[in-house]
Amino acid sequence: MSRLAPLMQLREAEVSAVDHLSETASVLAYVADSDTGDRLIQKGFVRLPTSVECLVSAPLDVASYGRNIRRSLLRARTHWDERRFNLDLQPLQATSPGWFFDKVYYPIFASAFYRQAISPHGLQKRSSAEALFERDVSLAVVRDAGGGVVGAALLERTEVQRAIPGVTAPTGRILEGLAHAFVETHQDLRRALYVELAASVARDGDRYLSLGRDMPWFEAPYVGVVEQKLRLANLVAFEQAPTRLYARWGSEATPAFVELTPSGPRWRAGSTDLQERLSGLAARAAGGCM
Amino acid sequence: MTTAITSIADAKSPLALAEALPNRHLHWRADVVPAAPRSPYFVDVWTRVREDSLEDCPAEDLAELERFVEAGGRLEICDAAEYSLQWSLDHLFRELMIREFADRDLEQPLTEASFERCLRPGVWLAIAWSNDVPVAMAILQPCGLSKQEADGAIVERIASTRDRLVVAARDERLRRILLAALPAMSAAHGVCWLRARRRPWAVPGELNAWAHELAHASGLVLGFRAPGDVLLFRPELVRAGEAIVFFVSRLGELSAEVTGDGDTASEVCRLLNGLILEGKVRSVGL
Repeated sequence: MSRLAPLMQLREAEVSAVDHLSETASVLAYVADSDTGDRLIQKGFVRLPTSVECLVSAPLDVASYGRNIRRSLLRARTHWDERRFNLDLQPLQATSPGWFFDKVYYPIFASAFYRQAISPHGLQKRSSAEALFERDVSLAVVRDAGGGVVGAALLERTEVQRAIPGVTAPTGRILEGLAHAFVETHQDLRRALYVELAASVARDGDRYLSLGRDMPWFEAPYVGVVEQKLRLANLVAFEQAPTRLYARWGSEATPAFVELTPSGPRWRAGSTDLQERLSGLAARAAGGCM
Repeated sequence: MTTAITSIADAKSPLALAEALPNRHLHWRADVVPAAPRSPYFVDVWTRVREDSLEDCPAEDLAELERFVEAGGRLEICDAAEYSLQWSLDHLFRELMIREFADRDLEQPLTEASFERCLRPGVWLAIAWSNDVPVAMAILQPCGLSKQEADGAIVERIASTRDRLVVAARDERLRRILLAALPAMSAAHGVCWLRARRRPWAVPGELNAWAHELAHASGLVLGFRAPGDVLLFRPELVRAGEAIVFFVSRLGELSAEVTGDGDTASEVCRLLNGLILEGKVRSVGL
């Protein structure tokens, strides 16, 4: 979907033009009113949830996973202990902005974003990171045996409001991952971080840790990431915001996406294999509620 | 850029579609170009440099440069190969460039991988040092000129040209010091022209850099990429704080318009139209 045409706040008068455009290009339309949405459905568009989110139980029940995942989690956890890492979770507001930007934001987060060419939640911009100090955000800092910062995660306490028919979802407040990063030499510790974070979240009395909110369509390089998230997830949640999202793929169809149907969300993919794999993982994670 | 540009490049009838979508900035391709103001894809700012270019510097920049040198600061131009890739990544990319991009709220103009690709043999680094720590830097690469540009009236016959790819500094003062010294430093290494390529829009915080560059510019080349490949901005849709540079051709005469609030946008517009009036602007691909 490299040549996606996003149309924000699509108006009903523009539906015909968008229909015409979608004959040759992939189109994503954000629609505020349901009548315009209905017209798009008639034109062959599909409705998407606003976001897809994988959640793990806190603490992570390692024994509940299949053998391969269980072994990789235990291996990551062993490496974590061998390197004598420790994790400290605290409200971002409890840290000094000067320390955060000098010791965590630039060396850990910004470096990782530019290394991986990613921009989670626009956090490659300093003003976006500064705005987190005004929100209910927690900072998880991973330190090595010498006390040096080697990794970090930003998590936001958020109110879950999900109302998609047929889907069981957590309600109330959860911790949602915004971004996480390690210094270059410790990239292999992501899974151990999840285990540690979930344990820390549980100690604070929360039941779920979100692995981060994703858009409902996945470009080729990201499909693998979503598969990994689904393998760990104990629950998959979908969100629909008041502004509805519709898509029609052109000749370059997206590799995978989630469609909102009247009976609930459905995983779709260009290949049957991938569609079955994603649906199976999501169904397992959802505990049969898909 | 925060203003969304809707691509209708693949549409069958883009002209009709453009008319049906009056409330959007558009990128499209067509045989027929619209009468509406078109924006170039890039604006190349050309600066003629000489070893005595320092004489052209604003007095306040020159004074800052002198204070910097008196305090033990030094400036150098060297081949990128003189420093290891790891050193360049740690001290130039991570310590200077990423901080500058983040502080200016830019998207990722250069990723780590693209920075590494930049540092090929023959590329120069201009570095300002303070206490043996790099505090400002620019990447200068050999300039590849299209035949259209090389034959043009502005560029004339260019013996040696360098593309100034990116400038990063710890603060605005150090940035101005490096930029003030760069022309003379480059000329001392045999460079005759410096070229800096800019997008035709500016997010808040970028217009100052535009104004500073245009004040020293010897000429501009507006790149319209290819006939019929249209970047069409709707001036009335530009959001607060943003600025977009338009070039309008009426009765064969080019003029510049800059949307956006404030004195700096007006200054950029004045400088652009000054260069047009002096015959120092030409277009390619229009």
